[in-house]
Amino acid sequence: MRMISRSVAAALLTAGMLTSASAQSTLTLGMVVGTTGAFAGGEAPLVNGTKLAVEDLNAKGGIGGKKINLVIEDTGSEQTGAVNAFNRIIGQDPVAIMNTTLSGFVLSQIGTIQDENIPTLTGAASAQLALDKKGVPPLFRIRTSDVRVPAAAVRFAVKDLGAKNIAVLRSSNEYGNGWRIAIEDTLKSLNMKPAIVETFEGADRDLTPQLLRIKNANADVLIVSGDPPNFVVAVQQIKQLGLTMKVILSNAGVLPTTLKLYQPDASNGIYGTVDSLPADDPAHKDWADRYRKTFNLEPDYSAAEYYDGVMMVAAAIAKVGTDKDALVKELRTVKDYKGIGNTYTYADKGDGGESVAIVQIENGKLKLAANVK
Amino acid sequence: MVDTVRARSRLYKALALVVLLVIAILLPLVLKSNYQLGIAHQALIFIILALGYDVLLGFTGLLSFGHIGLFAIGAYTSAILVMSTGAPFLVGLLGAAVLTGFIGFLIAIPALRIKGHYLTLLTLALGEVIRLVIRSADSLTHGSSGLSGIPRPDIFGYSFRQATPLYYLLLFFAVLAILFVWRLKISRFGRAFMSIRDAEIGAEVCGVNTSAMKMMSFAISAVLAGIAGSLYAHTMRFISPEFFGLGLTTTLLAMVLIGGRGTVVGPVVGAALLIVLPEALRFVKDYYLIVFGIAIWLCVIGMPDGLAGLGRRLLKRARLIA
Repeated sequence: MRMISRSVAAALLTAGMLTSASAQSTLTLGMVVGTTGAFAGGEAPLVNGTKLAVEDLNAKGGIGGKKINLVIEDTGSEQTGAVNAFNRIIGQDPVAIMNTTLSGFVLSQIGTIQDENIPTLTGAASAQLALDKKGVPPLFRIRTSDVRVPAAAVRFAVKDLGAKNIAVLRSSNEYGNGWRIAIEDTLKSLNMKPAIVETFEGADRDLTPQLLRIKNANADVLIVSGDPPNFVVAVQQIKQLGLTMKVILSNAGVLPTTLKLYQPDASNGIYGTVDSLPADDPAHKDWADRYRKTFNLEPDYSAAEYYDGVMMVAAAIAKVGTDKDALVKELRTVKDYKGIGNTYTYADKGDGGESVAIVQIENGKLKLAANVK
Repeated sequence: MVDTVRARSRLYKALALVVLLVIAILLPLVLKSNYQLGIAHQALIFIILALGYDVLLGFTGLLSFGHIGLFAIGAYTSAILVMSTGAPFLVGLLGAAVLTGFIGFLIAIPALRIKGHYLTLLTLALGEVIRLVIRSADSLTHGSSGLSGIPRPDIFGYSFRQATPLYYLLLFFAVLAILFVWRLKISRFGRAFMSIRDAEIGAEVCGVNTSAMKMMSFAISAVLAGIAGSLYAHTMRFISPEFFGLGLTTTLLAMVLIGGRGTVVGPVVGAALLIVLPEALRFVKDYYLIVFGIAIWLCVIGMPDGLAGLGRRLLKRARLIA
């Protein structure tokens, strides 16, 4: 009996030591995204990009001999869910957190991000998240800010498409509001103003009144900003209602997961803003091929940017270790880091990504229309 | 004999309440992570909100779909008062309670003239109007950007920034709200509210001033919504119009109906359950919404009087067996 007890105790001790050793030999990378709910489709590429980066790092032996363990928590595509998911991740002691792209959700986590001081990387583009506004030092934007992207869309509309009357259709949330402000500011700098600005709610599934008013305003270019479910409705109804002006969609409208939902005849010829088009860049062909092979999906800038984010964190850990204060400090020194999806700067209050490109939908695929400065 | 049974029943209830209070006080010893305490914070805030909603729906029988609008007004009033004027948290809380109480009183004026579905539609519209006004009043509310950086409560120099002290502050307000609603229920006002719910014409015939009582019910319910709103803003530290949508109204309605309307314990159990259950079901990953939906459906089918009603039935059966 005593023999058995000793054996059991020894086994338990060994198991405990193994678990402890395993915990010590891995680094936890947290991720907070919507894997269920309305934004799950739009956020899927972020998970893919992060997974690919973790896979690549682990294939090379991890960071400093420690493998990376990716832990994903679901926001449920809800604001409170995003706060809860962030708190759940914190409880698992991550070295860094790859966060949601929903600006409103990130704003709701700001207090906790500041308190915890864990490097948190986000693809949220709202201008409000800049360090000189509501942003906090441990929050790093792996995306081009909304100050730049809508301005690029307007300049493309005016210079390349010859627009004289630009209409704006935007969601009522923080993201859509940011686009409205940036578009109005850019038009003002060009001595122009929008022909009409229309708003819709995130849950709206009929945009007929807004689109008919835009039609009556005789606009020659329509800029639409919103989230993936909104674009599916907008693109279909633009076609149904016979709107003939050129259309530019904000980033979520040209994500591979959104493109799959459009009727080909309705989306052909529509433009969209992206931070970059990695699939079109010969320098990143290997990465793009591996992405396609692994996820059976066309690679996009958001997947590439989350890939870059993990790589920047890995480089910082390799340099200063896993102390969160040191990591935040180290990441704040990053300048002109050339990744696959963007070029990033956080030094001197840098706001993350800098590049913007315009793409055009052709038979359900994207082709580069212009790189806009 | 009847008096003895009633006295014993009250004693059991009081004992149950004391046990629950002791459990609630000791809970932070078990809930150690910020995540678990964060869920407890939300549950306590929604207990206050659901109790207020039960005064209107459960006690008085008035179905309002605009309650979340009042919750939003409370949150914004408190946040703006504290952030713009530098007022202490308690002033923000008081301001939120007074303003939402006054707005609740104003909403009651048109609501006196209509009943049933029309009242529901009116309050539904009012709730949406409140949300749109908050979004449009950019200079005051920061519109769709929302208000961030709302400070955690600070009372007479003691900061409730950390999760555990904040838990006890919220517990204090939740217990106050429970005691208030319990006292209200057994008061003559509570009886007047319930008489309106059960037979409005009968209540009028018996001399109940139904108009005044309905206005009072709206106002009390709104004050509790305002207090909950203030606590929410200072707990979450960020508020935006998006959060105060129709989906939250549905959740609030479910809290009261599943918990058991017209009772004090019902909204408490309902709020705690509907905040904790979705989190507890995370282990089933993407399927948790299905499991959550089935759980709610089973509750409604199997317990028409809510969880409080089920408790009552089980107690009655236990007494009969004894």
